[in-house]
Parts: sequence; structure tokens; C-alpha cells
Amino acid sequence: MKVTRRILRAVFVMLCAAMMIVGPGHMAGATMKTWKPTGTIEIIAPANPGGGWDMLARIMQRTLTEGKLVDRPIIITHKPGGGGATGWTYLNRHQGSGNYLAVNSSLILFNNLLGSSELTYKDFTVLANLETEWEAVAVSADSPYKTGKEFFEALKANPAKMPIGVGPSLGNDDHVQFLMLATTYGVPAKSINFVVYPGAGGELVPALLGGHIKGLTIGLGEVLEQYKAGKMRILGVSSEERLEELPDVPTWKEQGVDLVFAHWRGVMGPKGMTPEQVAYWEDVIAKMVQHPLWFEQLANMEQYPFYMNKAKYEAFLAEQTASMKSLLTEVGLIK
Amino acid sequence: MNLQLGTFSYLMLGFRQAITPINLVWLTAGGLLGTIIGMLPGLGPATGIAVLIPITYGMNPATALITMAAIYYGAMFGGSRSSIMLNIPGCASSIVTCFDGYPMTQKGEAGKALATSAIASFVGGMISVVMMIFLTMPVANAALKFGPAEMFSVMLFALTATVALSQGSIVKGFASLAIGFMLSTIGIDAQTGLQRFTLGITELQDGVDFLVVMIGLYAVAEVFRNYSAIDRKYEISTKSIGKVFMTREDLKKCLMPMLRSSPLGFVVGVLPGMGGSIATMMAYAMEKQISRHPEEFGKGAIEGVAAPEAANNAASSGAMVPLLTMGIPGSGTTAVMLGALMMLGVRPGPLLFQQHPEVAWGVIASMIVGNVILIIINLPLVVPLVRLLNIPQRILLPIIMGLAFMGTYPINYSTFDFFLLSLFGLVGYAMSRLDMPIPPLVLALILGSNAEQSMRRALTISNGNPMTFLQKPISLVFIILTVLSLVYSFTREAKAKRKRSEGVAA
Amino acid sequence: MTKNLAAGLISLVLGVVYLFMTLRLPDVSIGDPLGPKLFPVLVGMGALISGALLVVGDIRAAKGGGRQRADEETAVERSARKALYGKIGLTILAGMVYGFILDTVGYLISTFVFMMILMCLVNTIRRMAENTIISLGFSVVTYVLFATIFQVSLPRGILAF
Repeated sequence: MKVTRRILRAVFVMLCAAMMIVGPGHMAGATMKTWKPTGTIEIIAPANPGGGWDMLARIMQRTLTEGKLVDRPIIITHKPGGGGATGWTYLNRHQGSGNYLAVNSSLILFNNLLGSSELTYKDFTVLANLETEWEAVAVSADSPYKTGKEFFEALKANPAKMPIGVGPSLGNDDHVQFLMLATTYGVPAKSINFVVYPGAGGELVPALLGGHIKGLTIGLGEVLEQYKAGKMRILGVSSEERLEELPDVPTWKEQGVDLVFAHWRGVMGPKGMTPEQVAYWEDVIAKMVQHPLWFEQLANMEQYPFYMNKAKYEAFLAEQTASMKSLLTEVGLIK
Repeated sequence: MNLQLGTFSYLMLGFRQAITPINLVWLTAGGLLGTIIGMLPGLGPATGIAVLIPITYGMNPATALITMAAIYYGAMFGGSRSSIMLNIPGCASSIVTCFDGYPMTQKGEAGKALATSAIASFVGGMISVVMMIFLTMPVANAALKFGPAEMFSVMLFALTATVALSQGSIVKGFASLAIGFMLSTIGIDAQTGLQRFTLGITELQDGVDFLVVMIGLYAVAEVFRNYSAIDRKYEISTKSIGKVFMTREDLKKCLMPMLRSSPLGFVVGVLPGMGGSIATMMAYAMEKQISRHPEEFGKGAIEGVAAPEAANNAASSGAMVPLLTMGIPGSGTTAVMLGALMMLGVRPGPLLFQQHPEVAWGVIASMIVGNVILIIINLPLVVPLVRLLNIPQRILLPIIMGLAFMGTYPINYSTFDFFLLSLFGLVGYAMSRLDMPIPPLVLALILGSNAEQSMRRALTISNGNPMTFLQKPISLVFIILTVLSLVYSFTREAKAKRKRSEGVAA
Repeated sequence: MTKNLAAGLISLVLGVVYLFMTLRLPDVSIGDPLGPKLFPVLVGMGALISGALLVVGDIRAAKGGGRQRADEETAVERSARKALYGKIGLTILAGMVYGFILDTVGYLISTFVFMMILMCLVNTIRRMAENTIISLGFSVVTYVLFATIFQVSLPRGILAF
């Protein structure tokens, strides 16, 4: 008797839970033939573990799994190489599958515009933009330069004496940001003494702290802790407005440079996904970017929410391709 | 005085953290996982830690870091097993262990070599933790002074010393070194984005992965060599277990080498962009140089196992220093650790010791406990491991070959690497037929791109002035050491040749 | 040909080819123009010098009569060598086939096939039961270890699950 009641109650609870999970959003799409992942879901991070792409893939994996937004296991596959191209090519080995996703970033535009890769975002099924990171220029705390203007004027006067660190390669967001600033301040791009560190932040930060380079252009997250500890000075950030946790650091805009520069990252599937598969992921991703865990994880990683749904993202990509092209021409990277 | 007291009470805080039951369980699990990963081809500590990240979501940050660190140094314990037993290094930092470890196995002392390596790893780990407790900050600050010029000179010295002091003809060693450097320049040049020597093959754009080359030159070529041994029908599985534990005499022989190599390994490990492979090379070269019987090195000298093993475990602790003190990941493995900690809301940086002393000191204290646990795990493992050598060659060889291929696949998820693997299997076979030493090639490939980039960075910063390598004092010291080791080795070879021709004449 | 001479010639040839390729590298538009060629030129010269030293040393040794002559190969040794080369060739062929089918057929089946070929090659075809058990065991154990425990993405192929 008691046992039956307990079972009944359990069944009731499970039903309620099931209804909550399925939810009204699902009901709306019921007219369309629905699709669900058929096996293990694979998120491709086209880089080694530990970098920005890996972190985004992990945040997705964790939010989707712990938020119970998908009911299949998710694994992360690292395929580094070619500034992302190797991993994205691997994604398209699974054309028409809804079980494979890959993270991307502004690099997918740069690679193509600079001629290092044939791939464009049109070769894939783009799904959504997810987050962004802001760019910064930093000098060591004992450097005499306090503002962007002072720094770039000194650079203009004696570029040979001021090696600038950049990584992991030329032609990325960090490099372009710096060229953009230099052009505005009237420093000839050719004269800048760029020193490339393939190990990115892991090599750049000690190089600046040790005084081997005089400035670096880098994602904000990589220098934030050094700034807080008083070891580095951040001359400017590429965000629209001052950031909440950095009230003392001016934006470039405030310093009179018309530069807002987002190093955004998004997610896409292989070429040839069916409308049902796209609809499934659009729905799941829209829920993911609302989840508290999502915001918490992004904040931990010093990333900022920058969600765009598929339609908006496609328009954004088209607009960015055009504006980046003119920007890269302006700074002399495209002839 | 005050500082010392502070250190002590922080260390106690760390110990309280390290010996909670949950942390002890994870410490053991991490060490075991690391040991296994170290033994498998193609899998390194970075993979092991990446696998563990989802599990760390449920942990507090201290436990997570303790577990990840245990995988890291656990892999150092495991990495040399196959070097010693099969002449196949499990990772870059166990290449040098092959030099004397495998000859010991051939002499029937596999058990002793394995035990020596475990004990040396333990000593290296313990000494480096003590150095971490007292010297973390000064060493980390000194490491910052290492610029590109210094890095280049250190790498140059480590490579020439290895060639100069390894077995066989020195000229052939340099030829092998040159080939390794050639391979290291294949792919996109980081400083300019230019594609070099790719022959138009897309798979070569990102260069030749040293792991693929290493598995080919060692594992595949070793199987090829042993194919002939089966045909001639002589069993080489006469490798008996040997004495498992070191005798008092062995311990005495190894004591000083371990005490010297551990601090060396620790310091090299702290330097950004350097790693276990340089630490082992320098430790081996140093021991051979000051040994009273250098001619035994390469023929199964027990110090030749103890020194690099102590150095490489010490280097793995050293690599944790920039991470803990400044939030700087000096290697792929520590980069993954940094990411994992950030996901848990802890951002390692210059303030970690103040903001999260329980994490920083917890992991330091746990390394003491962890090294004890690892030696308790690893010493009894020696006997069953050596038993594996009794598997007949006709079964062991296909399994090694299978592991070589399947271990290669996850490095790039590309079957193109199977082609490279076979190619370097053949190259390795040909090289051993021609008595060309293989280690210089592999080590040059591992360090080549870093060496070239450091050299070019130094030149860019000095505006193309090559004197920069001689103007910086640390760099100058290593350039002088490089020249000395070259002169020493050539005169030694000339002397040996003269002796030989005199012998012929007499 | 002695071992030293062969090693020297290989080093010389590689050095020449490598230097030739270095000099044909295009000039770069960003960064210093000398940069990408500097290190390769040094390395190529190193290969040439070590190659030349080996060759010259060998010729001088030959004149002085101190050259180590390779032992004459007996008929037995020659057939053993041929058998060895055959085995090495077959192993590489099996490796190529493995690479060719791995992505489409999937890990479990192609690894089993690869191991069977190797086992038959080394452990002879007569011990078929042993070969099958070890090949099967190897494929399954490594699959479980890598794909399940270490979460490595191995090709699932036609045995999709």
C-alpha cells in the first residue's frame, strides 16, 4: 500500500519534470518534424587544450550537460592547426550531420581575407555568436608611458628601441588592433618592431615583465591579473564603454580613437545541416545563453556575453567581412 | 625570521589541506592515472588533465589543482618505463633515460633500472618541493631575466653537450642534429607567416609533430630491427628480472648525481618555454662530464638513469612555479591547468598566494605526500612490469607496432601521420644501420623551432646585432660552455683515434 | 660503401637540397626579410660541413688502410636480409591500408584487420587462434581505454554506437 503510493508519487514527479523539460518552446515547434542528436555530440575546438577556443567549448559542454539541455554525452575534440582551418576542415568531414559542432572566431574572417585559408563562414552552417573578449595594450608598471598618446608618440620617435610583443601569430585580432591604433596615431606600420611569441600569453607576459619587450597587444583576460597586482599598466581597452571591473582604464574611444574592436567567438555546424537540425540547435543554444551557469562561467573566464541568433549572426558576419576588409587594407595587410 | 615563521604556518595550512581524505583519494587516483598515461604512447599529461576537467567541476579548487599536479608528476614516473624496457621513450623528457636504461635491461638489470628511476624521480620530486617552499619567489623573478638571447644560448648548449657527450661519432651526431633542425623548420614560420619546406602538402603546414617522429624513430624502427632477430632464431628475451632493488653500493653511486640533478632540473623547469627534455639533457651531460668513469655512460651506467630521472621530475615541479606565482603557463600542460582553475573561479596570478593560500600551499604540500604515494605505487609495479619482458617477441612486436600506430592517431586525428610514422620507422632503421645516433635528431626537432624563434627574437630586439648573444652575461656563459664542450669532445675523439691507430701499428 | 661514407653522402645531399630550397623561399612583406632564411642557411651549412668531414675522413682512412671493411655477406645472410626487407615492406603496406580504411570503416574493425596482418606476419599463420584472440583483445581494450576512459574521438565508422 505504502509502496504503491510512493511509486505513484515518483511517477507524478517524473511526469512534472518531463513536462518542464519539454516545455512550451517545444510545443510551438511541434508542427515541424523534430530532430534530436542521434549519438555522442562532438564539439570541435580547433586548437590545443588551454586556449580560448578550448575554454568556450568547455563552457558549452558544461552548461549543456549540467543544465540538462541535451540528453546525449558531449565530448570535446582538439584539432589544432592552420589558425583553426584544420579543425574546421575536420568538421566538414561530417557534412549533413547534426552531431558535430565547432567553435569559431573572428579568425575565420581574417584567415580568408589575408589569404592563408580558402575557408569562409559560408562553407559551414553558422548557428550563433556567443561571446566576446576585448583587446588591450599593456606596458610594464615601471614604463614611463601613461596614455595611448604618449606611448604611440614614443613609438613613432624611435620604433627600433620599442619591440612590441604579439602572439601566437601575425594577422590576428591582437596584431590588427595595434596596427589600427598605430595608423591613427600616425606611426608607419612598416616601422614597428613586432616580436612574435607563438606561445601567446604564456610567453608574452613574462617577456614584458622581464623587460625584453616594451609593450604588448593582447586579449584583456591575459593581463588582467597582472594589472590587478600592480605589475602592468593597461593603456586602453577596445570596448565601447569602460568595463565594470576596470573603472580606471580608459577605452580607446575616450582617448579619441574611433576603435571598438571585439574578438568574438561563435559556434557553427558542418555544411548541409537540415532545417530540423538547425532548429534543434538554435533552440538549445538560445536556452544555453540564458542559463545562470553560462554567465557564471563566462565571467570566470573574463569573457563577455555577445549572443546573436543565426539570422543576426549571418548579417553580422557579412558586415564584418566588409568592414575588416577595408580595415586590413587601410593598415597595409591587404594590398 | 618572521618570513620563515610565515612560511611554516602556511605550509601547515597546506598539509591540513593535502591530507583530508578526499584529497588523499584524488592524489592517489591522479598519480596512478598519470603513471598510466606516461606509459602510453602519444598520450601526455596535458591529455590526462584535459580528460579530468569535467570531473573537477564538482571539486573545490584546491582538490582540482592537487589532482592535476599529481597527474603531471605521475606521468614523469611512468614516462620512462618503456624507455628502460624497450628503448622506446614514452615522452620527450624520457629520451635521455634510454641512453643507459635500455643497456641495463640488456644486461639483465631491468628491475634495478626501473627501481632506480622510481627512486630518482622520488628524490627529484622531494628536493624540488623543498626548493619550491623556500625559493619560489626569487627563482621566479630570476627566470624573468631570461630573454630570447639567453634562451637561445641555453638551448644551443644543451644540444651540443648532448651530441658531444653521447655515444658514437661526434660528426655523425652533428649530421643527425642538422637533420633534426631541418625538420623543425618545416611549416609556417611564426615570425613572418611564411610557409617553408612544406612541398605544398597541407598536412605539413603546422610542421612535423615531434611525437610522430619520435614514435617512428624509436618504436617502429625498434620493431623493424627485432624482426631480424626473430629470423635468426635467437631469443633476446633472456632479460631476467635482475635484482629489483638497488644495492647499498648502487644507492651510493646515485646519491650525488641525484642531489646535483634535482636542483638543476628544478631551475630549468622554472624557465619559460623550457621543459623536461632540456633538464634531462643537461643533467646527463653534467654527470658524464664529472664522472670518474665516463666511458661507462651509454653502456648501462646506473647514474645515467638516476640523473635524468631526478631532473625531469624536478623540472615538472619547477614548471608549476610560474603558474603559481604569476599565473603564467610555461607549458602546454600548465596551460590546461590554468584553464581548469579559471573555470572554477580561481584566477592564478601574482596574488594567488595571498588570495587563495589554501590552493597554492595545498598543492605544494600535496606534492610531498604525492611523491610518497607514487613511490609506494611504482616500486611494487617493477616486478610485474619486468615480467612483461617475458612475453615472446613474436607477440610483443605486433603489439608495440599496434600501439605505435594507434597512439599516433590522436595526436592530430590524421591518418597522414601514419605515412610519416612509417617513413620515420624506415629512417630510424637506416640510421641505426649506419651507426648514426638518433637522439640528436629528435631533440633538435623538439627544440629547433623554439631555438630558431628565440634567436630571431633576440636579433629583432637588438635590431639585428648578433653581438647580443655575447653582451648578455648569462648568454655569454652558455656560449663559452658550448665552445668548451665542442673542443673537449673533438680532442677526446682525436685522442681515441690516435690510440686506435697506435694499437693497429703495434 | 662504408657506413661513414654513406652517412656523409646523405648529409651532403640533404644539405644541398635544403640550401637550394632555402634560397628559393620568397621574400616576405612583413617582418625582416632575412629572418626566415637565416636559420635554415646556418643549418644547411652545418649539414654540408658534417657531411664533408665524414666523406673526407672516410677517404683518408681508406688511403691509410685503416678503413673498416664491411664483412662479406654470406648466402644465408643475404636471404635473411631479403626476408627482413619483405617483412618491413609488408608492415608499412599494412600501415597504409590501416590509414586508408580507418576513417570510413571505423576504429574497431580496421584495427583488428591491421593487428591480424601483423600477427600473421610475425607470429606465423599457423597460430591462428592466438592471432585472433590478441588482435581482437587489442582492438577492444585500446578502444575502451582511449575512447571511453580518455574520451579520445576515435572514428566510429560502420559499427556506429
